[in-house]
Amino acid sequence: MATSTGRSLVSHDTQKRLQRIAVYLTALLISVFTIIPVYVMVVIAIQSPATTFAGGRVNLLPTQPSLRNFLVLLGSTDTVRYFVNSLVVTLGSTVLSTTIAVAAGYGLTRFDFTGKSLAARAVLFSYMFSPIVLAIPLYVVFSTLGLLNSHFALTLALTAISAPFCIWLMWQYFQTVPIALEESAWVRGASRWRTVRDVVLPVARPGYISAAIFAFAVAWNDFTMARVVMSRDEMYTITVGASLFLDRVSIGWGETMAVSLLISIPPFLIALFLQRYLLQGFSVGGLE
Amino acid sequence: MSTALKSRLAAAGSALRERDVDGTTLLLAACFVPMLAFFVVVWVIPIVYALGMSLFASPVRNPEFVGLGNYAELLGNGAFWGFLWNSVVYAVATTGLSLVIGLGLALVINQRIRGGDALRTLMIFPYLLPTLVVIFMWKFILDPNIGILNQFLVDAGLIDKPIAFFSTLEFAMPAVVVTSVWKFASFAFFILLARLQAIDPDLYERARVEGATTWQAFRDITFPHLRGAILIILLVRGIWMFNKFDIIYLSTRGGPLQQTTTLPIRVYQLAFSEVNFGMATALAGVMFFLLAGVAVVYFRAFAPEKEVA
Amino acid sequence: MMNGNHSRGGDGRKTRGSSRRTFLAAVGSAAAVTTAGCLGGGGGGGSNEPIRYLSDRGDSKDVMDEIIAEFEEETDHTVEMIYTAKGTSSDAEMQKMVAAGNPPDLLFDTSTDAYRLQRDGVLAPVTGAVQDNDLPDPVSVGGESYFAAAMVEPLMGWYRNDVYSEMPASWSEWVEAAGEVSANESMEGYVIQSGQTNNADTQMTQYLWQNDVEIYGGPSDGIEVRLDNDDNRQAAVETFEWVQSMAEHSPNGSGWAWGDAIGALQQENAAAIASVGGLPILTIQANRPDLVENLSPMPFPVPSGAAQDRWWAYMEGHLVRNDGQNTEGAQAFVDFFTSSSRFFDFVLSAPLFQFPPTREQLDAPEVAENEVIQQHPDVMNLVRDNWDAFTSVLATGDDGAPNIVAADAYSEQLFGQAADQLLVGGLTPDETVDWLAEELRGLQ
Repeated sequence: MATSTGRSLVSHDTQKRLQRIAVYLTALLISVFTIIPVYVMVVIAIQSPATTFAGGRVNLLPTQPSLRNFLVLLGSTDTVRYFVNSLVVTLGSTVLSTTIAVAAGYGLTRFDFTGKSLAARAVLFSYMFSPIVLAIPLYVVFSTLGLLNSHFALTLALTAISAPFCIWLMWQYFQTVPIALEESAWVRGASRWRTVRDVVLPVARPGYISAAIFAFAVAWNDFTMARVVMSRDEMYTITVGASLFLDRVSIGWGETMAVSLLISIPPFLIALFLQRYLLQGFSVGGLE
Repeated sequence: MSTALKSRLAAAGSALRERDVDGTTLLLAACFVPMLAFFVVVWVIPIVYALGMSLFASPVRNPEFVGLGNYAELLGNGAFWGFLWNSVVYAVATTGLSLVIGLGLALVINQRIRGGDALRTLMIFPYLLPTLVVIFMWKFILDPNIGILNQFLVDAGLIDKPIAFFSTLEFAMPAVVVTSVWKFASFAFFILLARLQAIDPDLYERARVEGATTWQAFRDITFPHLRGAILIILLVRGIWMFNKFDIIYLSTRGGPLQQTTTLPIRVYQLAFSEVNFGMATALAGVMFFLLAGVAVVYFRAFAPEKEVA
Repeated sequence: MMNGNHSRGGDGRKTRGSSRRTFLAAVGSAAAVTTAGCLGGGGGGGSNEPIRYLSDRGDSKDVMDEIIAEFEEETDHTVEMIYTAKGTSSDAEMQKMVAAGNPPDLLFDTSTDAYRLQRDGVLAPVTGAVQDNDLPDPVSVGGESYFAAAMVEPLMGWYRNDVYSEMPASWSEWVEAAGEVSANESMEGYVIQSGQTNNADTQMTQYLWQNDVEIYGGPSDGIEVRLDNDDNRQAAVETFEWVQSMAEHSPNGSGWAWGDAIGALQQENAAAIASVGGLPILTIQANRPDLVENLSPMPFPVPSGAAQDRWWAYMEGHLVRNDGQNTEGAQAFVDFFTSSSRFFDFVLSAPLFQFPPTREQLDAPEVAENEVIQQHPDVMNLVRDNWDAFTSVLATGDDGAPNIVAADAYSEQLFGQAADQLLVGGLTPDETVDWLAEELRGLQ
């Protein structure tokens, strides 16, 4: 146990230390890479452009925080209306998508039928589909039906993108919910519907919260569908509305970052308070 | 899923049907009608409709049946292969880099380092941030004049003149790739982290006792557990990136000189800038069949439907 | 290629009557029946379809909302605004609406696009509004006017008066002075822009004009490209040589948009740029107020001995499509707008950038009283002194006849691309002239 192990112990220690350094260095690099853009956004949003650009350099140490950019947004743009539109379609498609997914997930695990794997493949196939490839025919169909520029059409379109994954998620989730719970409820004479309401839904809660989060994220993030379905100014969602801001003479980077910060609030809250549901979703595959 | 559970479920299913006393049929309908109606309305009708349109010249305003003419014109045009190539380059570069970063970070966090939880929370953020916001951030950072990257590079003496990353031929694609990787690296990270944390710690302990090096432990324990996830990420993330529209449209609109024009961008241009719905739907059709091809490979190789059915 | 196919696509659209949307209708109607019951509610109300108005003037939104409110009060029409991003995307948005069989009634666009659309046969006249208000009449065909100008936006240069002790004027002075700035200061002397962008295209065209290159000639129905003929080739080559030597004292401006050049001036990366009107000063006022007093407007550099006789100016205004749901309403709105007392509020919502469309209106009290304009008398002087030289690229046929080749070249930004061929692609000035002439002929 003497010298030879002693030598290897030293080298082992060094190796360990190097490894430790490498680990922290990687963590640091990736953190910096992730944080810098967010930091830049926040700083530029909360200081006036004159402060940001003073002296011909971009000043990123906030010395004079100001609400100026937010006031300009409120005063000379339709930011509020765009946000309302975004909320309407996001909540609409979140509810629709989650409802469809819960129903389908329950049905697909509780009823036996042939062609189940075909159904699974169909869900997976649509889950991989390109939103823009779907957007073109949806646009033509909606325009034929006179449904362009309606919250209803955009809600449907957004649900089209989020539902496949939500169904997949609930399908998997319901498999982990033991049928024994339902069986014992039946034995005690509960009806099919009561069992669903009082036993199945409460147990499935973590599943559908995580499906709802994904549906929410898809809709809130969406640019493609809103760009294609909505053409009237008063129907724009915040992403489409804000994408036009920089083209104006009267709007600069300050206001652009301010609106970006506002758009980031819901994702921020999710990351902070609902991350375990999100991680659960990732264990099934995550989303586009 | 275990066979035991499966047969249990099937039994329960038939139990449900036999006890059709209080509205099981209705429940059956409530479960499947929304999904089926939904699939027909937003998937089947539009897709069939689009495939139909792709057989017409000027299908909206002045329809004229041309059969596979649009497809022939599309595939016969050299530009198509350029756009396909751009899509492949973009998909491979973004997926590859995301995987490297995601794997690196997952391995790091799995070491239970200090601040690991905070870092994990931080990584959720880019993934949830709307693409538009991500684009604003990176457009600002990479801007030729006000951008802090150029400011830094010029100060450091690495370049003489600021570079307009998003609008210069050689930098446009890398700029779009970096922007995309920033947003999507977390995807690989979270999936891989979940797999890593599912590995039994005893395996490592046993390896350590047997005197295995870190590398050997990675090669013989970690990697085999991750291999399936890595392949899935490469495949699914690759497909999504191949199909990505918004991030490229918002950053470069496919320019400069179509350097970043991928197939999804081209579909949009054909439909809405050149108003050629025949060609646009034909290209969408080509993408549809490409995806179908990849899906067949995916189903054959992984049988993902086994997870549920 | 990216934006280029409207013109060719347009030919097909001439046969308006025959375009029945049969295929679409066949599939659509079946689905329509099922949903019509619950969604058709809004249709029955008004006697008129709303006037669908497509505009890229987000800056003037508040004023326009007020004008529309007045218009809706006085007539039984309603107006539905659709805003798009500036530039080509507004054209794209229109094409998208047309493709869906749902074209807008009213557009805010350039005279150049107005002429392209008139040629495609999709415009209705707005003759009354033009004649009653003595507006310029750039798109006049068969006695009818198809474009009601609302504003003029001239190009304009800006330079640092503290860096250049005296404004360089001639080409040779500029090469020398910009070279000194680049060598001695921490910034470049000038910005040469190239690439497939509107700003590079307008500027490159202007440089050719500065050396009296007659790019085109002939009447509207027989426009020919004269860029490379005996009279012009030498002058065109000289121009590209000058651009090449100025580019040595410039940041790499390939692919830069308007905002990038303004950013260069704002961040003191360059001491002079070309832009549209007072756009730079409006931006820099917000971001670098300390820099404003160091900036002065200027005309384009000009070869010694040559006169400043053509000065690129966009003309933007209203045009009415004849295939929308409420053509008459749109025409009524153009009349109303043009004679509205708020006309000047609209134009002056981006002062120094947008100017009124006639020389008389330029001296109107509303203009003189505008605060921002009062702060920059030098800009107004430059505009007044050069008013007669203001030229739309559309009016470059013989005697200012509308020039469809120029309109198409602008929409493909061929001159900006030529500058890229020269500065990035490594063509010689001679080869660049050949490249450009060939591309232009391809449009004829």
